[in-house]
Amino acid sequence: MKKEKVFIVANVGLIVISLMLASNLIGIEFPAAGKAAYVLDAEEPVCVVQSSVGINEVDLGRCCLSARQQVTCERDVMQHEDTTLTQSCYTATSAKYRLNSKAYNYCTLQAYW
Amino acid sequence: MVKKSRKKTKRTTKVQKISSRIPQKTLFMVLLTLTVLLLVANIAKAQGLFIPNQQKGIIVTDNVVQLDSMTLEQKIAQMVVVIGAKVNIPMWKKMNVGGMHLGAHATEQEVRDKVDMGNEGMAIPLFITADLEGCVNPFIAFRDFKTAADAKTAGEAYDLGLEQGKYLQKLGFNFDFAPVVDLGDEIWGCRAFTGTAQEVSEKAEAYIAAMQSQKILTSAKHYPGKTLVGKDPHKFVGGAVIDKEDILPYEYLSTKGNVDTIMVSHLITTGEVDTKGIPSVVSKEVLDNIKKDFSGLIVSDEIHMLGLKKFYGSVDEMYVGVYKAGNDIVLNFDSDPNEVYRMITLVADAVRSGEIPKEQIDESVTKVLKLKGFSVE
Repeated sequence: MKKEKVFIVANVGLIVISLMLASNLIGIEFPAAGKAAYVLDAEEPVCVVQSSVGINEVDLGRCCLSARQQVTCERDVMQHEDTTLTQSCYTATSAKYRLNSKAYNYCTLQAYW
Repeated sequence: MVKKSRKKTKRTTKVQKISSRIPQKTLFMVLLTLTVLLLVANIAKAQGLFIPNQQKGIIVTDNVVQLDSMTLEQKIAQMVVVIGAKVNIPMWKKMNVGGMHLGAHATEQEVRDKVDMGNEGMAIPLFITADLEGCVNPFIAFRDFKTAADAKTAGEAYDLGLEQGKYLQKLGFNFDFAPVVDLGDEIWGCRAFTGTAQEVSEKAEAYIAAMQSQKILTSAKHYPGKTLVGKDPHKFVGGAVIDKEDILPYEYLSTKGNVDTIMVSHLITTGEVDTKGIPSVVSKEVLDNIKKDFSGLIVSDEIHMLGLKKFYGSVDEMYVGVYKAGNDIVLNFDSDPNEVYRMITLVADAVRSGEIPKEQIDESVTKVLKLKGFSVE
């Protein structure tokens, strides 16, 4: 009887795994933890470019794409006006894309990330 | 105690009932086999094994491409520029895409390796593209350049183009998405040439000539302008009012005839260019207007930027919309080759159903192949 129970538990597990694999195969995506973090974050997404000319805000679409094309993205906290920028993406220190967590979580959900 | 014991007996009976109905050991074996098969199928998908080899069947003789030898999917693939993550390069080649864009890298060797890998054994070589423009320099980790804002005269813009063109050619690139001819860069301060619209146009003309002397293709961007001015960064679909001055560089470079391509942005605009509430890049009217004076290629800005994505209800609609509008080259930097191939098949279906004219695709792919140095029959 104990052996039967083990098989039942294993089978339920295998059914779940099979369903997930089948979904992935046909292109159904499950909401990721990143998406949840993005949705639950009440802050406005903010991305700035920090360069020799100063700090200027960039629209989110261009920001994500540009940030993705940099060599490094790392945690680097900086206060900008009323928001905390937590991530910094750059290739050289002369120009950095700085994002708050809402913007960064959004970027990581994009197809090109 | 008695109650607990009864509950346990009840549960055991339930389990026994399930067990008796389905032989659990047999089911386990079936499910295990299914899971392994699905796992293998997922790995095969990730390796691009479900993407058909699109390099086969294209007849190229003495630098002449037989257009009729290309399938619809092969033609549409030639109109796509993808992002060159190393792991995906074999799949991009298999798909026979038109080009591969490279972002920033830590070393020169990394760039050379990808370029070599991309071009090896291709009957129709890839556009190898970069965004070396203004002060956006993907090679900054190992090679510095002056910025566009540093070029005070057309002569200096030529020198900048020559230096950058030589370097791009040395690395194996053949296409630079530059120069930026938007007026008044308020964000970076150095991505675009400075001065009046006429001065910007003349500097861009000189820069393009220098690039072309090194066999590097160019793109004036981002039509119709105003992509570098401060706007509400939280807005999902950007809008702007276009002045005569904004489009002067495009008119100048089109009539001078030396710019190879024009890149169109996702902005919804009014004024001199009225997109009538839809993003410029998917406005057939806007693209047709550019084509009246310009015989080169129209390049879409990257399609996954949210301005465009938010405009459509689904990515499928967006894929078809971008081609339908008349873009000759579509930048799709999706990191999943299966999804890019899905776009190609979706657009092919739209052509077969008559939603996109076949002649339009033929015209675009002919332009692409000619830009790559082929004759087309």
